[in-house]
Amino acid sequence: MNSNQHIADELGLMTTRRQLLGRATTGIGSMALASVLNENLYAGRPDGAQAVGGKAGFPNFLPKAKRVIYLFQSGAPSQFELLDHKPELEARHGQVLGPDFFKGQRQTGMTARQEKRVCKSIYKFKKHGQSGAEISELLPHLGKVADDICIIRSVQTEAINHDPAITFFQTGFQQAGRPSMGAWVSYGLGSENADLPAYVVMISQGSAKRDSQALYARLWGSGFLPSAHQGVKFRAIGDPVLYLNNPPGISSASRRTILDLTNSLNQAHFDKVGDPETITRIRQAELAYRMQMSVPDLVATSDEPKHVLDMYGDAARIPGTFAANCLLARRLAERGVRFIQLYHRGWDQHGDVPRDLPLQCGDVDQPSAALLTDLKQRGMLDDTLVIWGGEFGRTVYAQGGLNMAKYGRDHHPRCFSMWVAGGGIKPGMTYGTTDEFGFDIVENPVPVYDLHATMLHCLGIDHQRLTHKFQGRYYRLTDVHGRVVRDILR
Amino acid sequence: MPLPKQVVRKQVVLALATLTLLASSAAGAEPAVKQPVDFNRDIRPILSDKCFHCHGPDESNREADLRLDSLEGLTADLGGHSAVVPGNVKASALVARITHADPEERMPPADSGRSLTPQQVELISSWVQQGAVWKKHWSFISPARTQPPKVAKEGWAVNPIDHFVLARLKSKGLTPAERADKATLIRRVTFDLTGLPPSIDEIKAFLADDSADAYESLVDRLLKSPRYGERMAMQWLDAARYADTHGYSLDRRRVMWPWRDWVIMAYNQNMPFDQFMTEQLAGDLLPEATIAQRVATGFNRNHPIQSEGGVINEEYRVETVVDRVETTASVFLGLTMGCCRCHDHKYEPFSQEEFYRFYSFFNNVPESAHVGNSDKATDGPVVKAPSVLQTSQLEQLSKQIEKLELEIKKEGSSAAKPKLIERVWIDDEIPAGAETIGNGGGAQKFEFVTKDKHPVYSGNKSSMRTTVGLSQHLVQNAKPGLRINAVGKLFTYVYLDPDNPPKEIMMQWNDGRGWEHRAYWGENSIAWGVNNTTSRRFMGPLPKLGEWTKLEVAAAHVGLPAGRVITGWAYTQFDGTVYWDKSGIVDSQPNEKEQQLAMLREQASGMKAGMPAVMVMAEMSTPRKTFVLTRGQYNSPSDIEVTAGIPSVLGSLPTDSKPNRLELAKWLSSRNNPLTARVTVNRYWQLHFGVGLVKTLEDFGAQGEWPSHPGLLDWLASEFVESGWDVKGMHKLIVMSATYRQSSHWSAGVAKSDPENRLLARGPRFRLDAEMIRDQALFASGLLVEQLGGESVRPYQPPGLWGDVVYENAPRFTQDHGHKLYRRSMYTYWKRSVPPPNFQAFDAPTREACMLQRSKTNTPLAALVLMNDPTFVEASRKLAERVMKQGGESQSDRLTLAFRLATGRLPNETERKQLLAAQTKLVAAYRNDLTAAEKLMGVGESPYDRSLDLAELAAYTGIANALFQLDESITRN
Repeated sequence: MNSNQHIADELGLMTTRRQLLGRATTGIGSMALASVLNENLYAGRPDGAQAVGGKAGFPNFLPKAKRVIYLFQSGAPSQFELLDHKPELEARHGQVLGPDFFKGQRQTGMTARQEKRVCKSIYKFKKHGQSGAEISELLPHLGKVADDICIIRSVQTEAINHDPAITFFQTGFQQAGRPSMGAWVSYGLGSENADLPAYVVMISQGSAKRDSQALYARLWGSGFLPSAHQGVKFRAIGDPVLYLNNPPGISSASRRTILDLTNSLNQAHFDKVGDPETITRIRQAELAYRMQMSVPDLVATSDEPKHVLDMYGDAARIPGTFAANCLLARRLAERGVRFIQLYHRGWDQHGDVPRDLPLQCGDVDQPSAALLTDLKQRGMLDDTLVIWGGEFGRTVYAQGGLNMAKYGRDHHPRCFSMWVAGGGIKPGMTYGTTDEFGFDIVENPVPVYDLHATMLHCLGIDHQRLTHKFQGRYYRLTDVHGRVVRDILR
Repeated sequence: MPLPKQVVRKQVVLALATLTLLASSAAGAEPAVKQPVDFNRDIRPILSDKCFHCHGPDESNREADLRLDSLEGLTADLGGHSAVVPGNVKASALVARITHADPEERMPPADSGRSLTPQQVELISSWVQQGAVWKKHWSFISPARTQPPKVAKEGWAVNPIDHFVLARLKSKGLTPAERADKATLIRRVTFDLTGLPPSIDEIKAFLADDSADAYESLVDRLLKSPRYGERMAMQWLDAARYADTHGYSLDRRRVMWPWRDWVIMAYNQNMPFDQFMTEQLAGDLLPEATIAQRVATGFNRNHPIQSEGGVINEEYRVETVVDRVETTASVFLGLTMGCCRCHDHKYEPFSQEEFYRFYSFFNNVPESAHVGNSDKATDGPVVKAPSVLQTSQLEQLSKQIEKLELEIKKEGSSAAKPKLIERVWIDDEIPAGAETIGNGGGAQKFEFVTKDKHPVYSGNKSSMRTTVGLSQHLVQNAKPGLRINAVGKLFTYVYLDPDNPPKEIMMQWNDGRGWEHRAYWGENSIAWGVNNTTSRRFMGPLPKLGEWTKLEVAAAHVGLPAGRVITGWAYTQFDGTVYWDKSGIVDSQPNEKEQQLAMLREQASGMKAGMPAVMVMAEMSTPRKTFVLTRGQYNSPSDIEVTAGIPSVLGSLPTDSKPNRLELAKWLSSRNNPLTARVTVNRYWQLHFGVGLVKTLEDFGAQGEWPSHPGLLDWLASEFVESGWDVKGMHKLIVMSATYRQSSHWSAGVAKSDPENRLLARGPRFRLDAEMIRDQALFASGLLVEQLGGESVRPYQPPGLWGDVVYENAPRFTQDHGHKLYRRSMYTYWKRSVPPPNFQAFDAPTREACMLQRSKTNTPLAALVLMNDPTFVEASRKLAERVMKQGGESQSDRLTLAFRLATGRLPNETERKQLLAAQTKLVAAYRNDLTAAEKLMGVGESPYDRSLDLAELAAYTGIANALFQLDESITRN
């Protein structure tokens, strides 16, 4: 018997070793390893579900949602044109707002010194569904699923510029360095699929690509959490996951030969040295090999029935579009990916609302609604939390002149609109009220921290308990803030 | 002192529980009854973690007026009772409350998530029982010069380090592991001190050297290698959050690499650590500061800088100063000062006011915290600096260039007897990786038309444009681009519509530096560039209308000498309708020496041209006032004005001097400072052992971890100061120890009780950092190009990564070519919003904030990098080539060499057989599919040796690919 047998035994690697040893002389076949890989990885959970990794004791209580699909609209869509109907602005259109109006609200360097004239929306709103939700004519498909969503008109943030605002939304902090919310969720709950990352990110370019704000690796980064929790980008250019495909000239069969050699040499090394890390290395290489097959399968949406593709729209057939990513999001959700985040760029309409906003809405309206319908048809909307929104809102006054053919709006952090659906959220409601100018919240403010706390709550996590000690301090996504918005919970 | 009976019995039970628990954790605290309780080791961590949050230094958050972080607080009269009555468990309210039967009354509150374990309760009781001895936090007490303990096994020990380690092992009934074999040892120490593996010759020489000082000479040789400075700098770059971009928003390029080169130079010159620290914190304030000393202060300008249009400057200026405080405190003091930005510290005796006193040191820089939108934009004070590494390098380069020129002259250049070859770059397709643009906006405006309806010269398509006035379409950012060799002549075919002729046509080329290379025909109506220079050359009248004409331009005539790479090509016209077709170059195929010469010349001219402006620290002439900011908000200054100073618990600066950064550096370097020497040697220890003596490298405060070997830490710290902060000396001391030289094999008994190896009963074994994994592959394959310092380089990365995320008009990634593909990884361009993806897979940080310790994860994504990243595939095929050329004739010998290049040791019989079997299988597969073999040889830009058997070469490539993935290869054992 090998001298390291007892180490393996002690460390719970016994099964692994026996199975591996049995094949050591002939090379390790993929079948044998596939069975090895799944053992011991599943821990018992309070919800009875199986998950890989995750923090002991999580979820803290029975979750409503098992996963999140977050449709981030980067650049900040205007609430005035989309989800927060302000008929009063018709009468006040052109009215100059004096300094007192702003109650000390910080303004960006772009419009701090200009004259501020009230600007109405040129788009009409209609009431939809039984709930009578008011939704803009730019979002006709969303109107059809109005009874499935909860519109929040009273989200508020602290940041007034894109980079800090999106960093705040993603990490709970305006400066770089903290873990992203997806990483927190992966850290807390682990993955439901040993073959796929717990946190997947996809990016699409908006049709109004003139002013696309930048994104940053930190937005899906792991900060001070172990880097295994960082988001993995699925991409439409090149390999769907970085470095997934074998290089030209290495066939799948050759890859197997190469991997078998690596594994058997690694196994021999473990026999000599006894470091369990070596066994993990074998497992991860095998997982990588399996991903080489499972991921292309996953992203090949051509096997979807025509009616499903049609539901998401023609763009769903073009890889890399928001529509295609929505469809992929559903496929990832089906396979147990915990946190799926889409970023759609191009929503920063400082000018040219009439030209660009319809383009952006054209990108996202049909597929967002289709995603909800698709999930619902599969019985998955109940345990999937879907979130739609940008990093802040836009000003009631026009940036630059009041030319209605070209008008735009600056950044407004004090109130803006998002919608959430599924996984524990009350459907068919509109929450929060803003004043007649859409400047301030009159009722039920929802700070970003509260949104985070509520999201975690839906996932069965007490946001105050999901902490990580770093530099002597227990950090959490909601810092020292956060309150679950129970009014919108089922 | 006898304990009450009841307590004793409880303790026995608990001690058993404790033992079981401890057995599975690291070498933590001892069970309570076994030895006297030590306040700092056993009690403070519990109080800090569980109690200080509400009963700690933060006055505003203090509950019930009870303070447990000081002796006064613990023993204060709380109205007839005290939290702690030394020696009297029953009278101590603290014990009563933590053991209270009623869960509502029991402390800490159940809903706080800070409940005590039974062992912790017991420890606290024992401590009170034993007299409640209170001590200042250990790391705030200056290290005592301890004597190494006497130990029995003196023969094993090499230096005092081993005495400390042995004593601790003995107390646990453990013995050290045997010495690592020599092959393992040379690889271990070579990686630790130079970041690269040893060469085969170095391994052979060391194995053959039986002299008593063989190992010591090896260590001395490594410490003298210029690679040593690069390796040490790697760790420092993370700490100093060094990067090549500004980080926020547009995340554009910045030039801080001369600072990075300063760091390499300082390590290689073995600059004493106190000087190293002083120059980086306050080099500008030194009397008659040199340029190099000012460059050194770039340490505190490495932070991210904003560039977003709407940013409020003061908000980000405050963030910048806070970043400096946090980084400086983490790196030099091991303290988490950031916590008291908004309120008094919850765990440490630092007040919010003291935070702003420290802040004040860094609050006096003439900066705006907002940087412009060009790639040359800088913010605040800069110096124009040549790289400190480059003077000698330039001389070396010139010599090499001269030598090559002579040789080429002798052998005859390819230009003298050129073998001309036509290479088409644009025909029916645009070049690889290129993007197209045309007037009118959008990619579609580069319009290809087909021959069924339009004139076409070659293939099925030509590009067409009709305009009034000036208009153009172009390709740009092509990767890899079109390299110009000697006697290069650029050509294109053009057809002018006789019904709508243009007034002028023009071609423009981009060589990666700009579009200033133009040639035109016809009227001089397009005013770009300067007439009669390489930026606007007149080539003649318009060609004949209505027929295809070949236009030719000597590349040199428009300022494109051999060696340049064309990345963009523009077709421009004034009025009319013009068709363009087949474009490319006719030039000679250069020989190897000429290619090398071109590379060296480019390097030399780059160096001469580059006197970049580096951001540095400076003081404003009228100092900025510092106020405590309410809740840390930039726009809520309180009326409390503060002057620069250090937290009082650490001491104070001399009162007779003006408190500035230089005074801070002097205090940090002084013996009055209990922390810096400890924190620094601890980091060195971590570099060699994977874990620090204090595991929390960045936190030596109350929430940090108790050192595994307190005596050793203090001995090393005082030794470090005594030696005059001799950095190389400290590294030598550590790697010379018998502790370091132990075998890293896991032994059965210790594996479970001490998986992290905190007791050091075996040698250190851990995965290499991202940079080293890549560098090893380049080194083993012979691809590595060693050159100290200089501008950062952009080796391979997957397409489109920047395009996914960057601002619309921000630059896209342009891959480098030639030698820049093979530089050491620490020179890889670090874009904060898109860090090098293959490094990220191995836990490299984004460099947005100070990072002292990377995690070491083991993920499928990392496995994919080793399998498929062109970097590793190319290295695999070059390693294959190398073993076929140098590994002897037999397969077995060649595989042996391959294995040794990857792991540093010879394979055993079983391993050799496995290698052979796999090789045979792969050769057979590639014999059947030579096309696949050929394709594999096309990965990466280095050519392959066509004289070698292709199937074998491909098969060895597969073997090398397997070897680079081995746990043993990517681990320093």
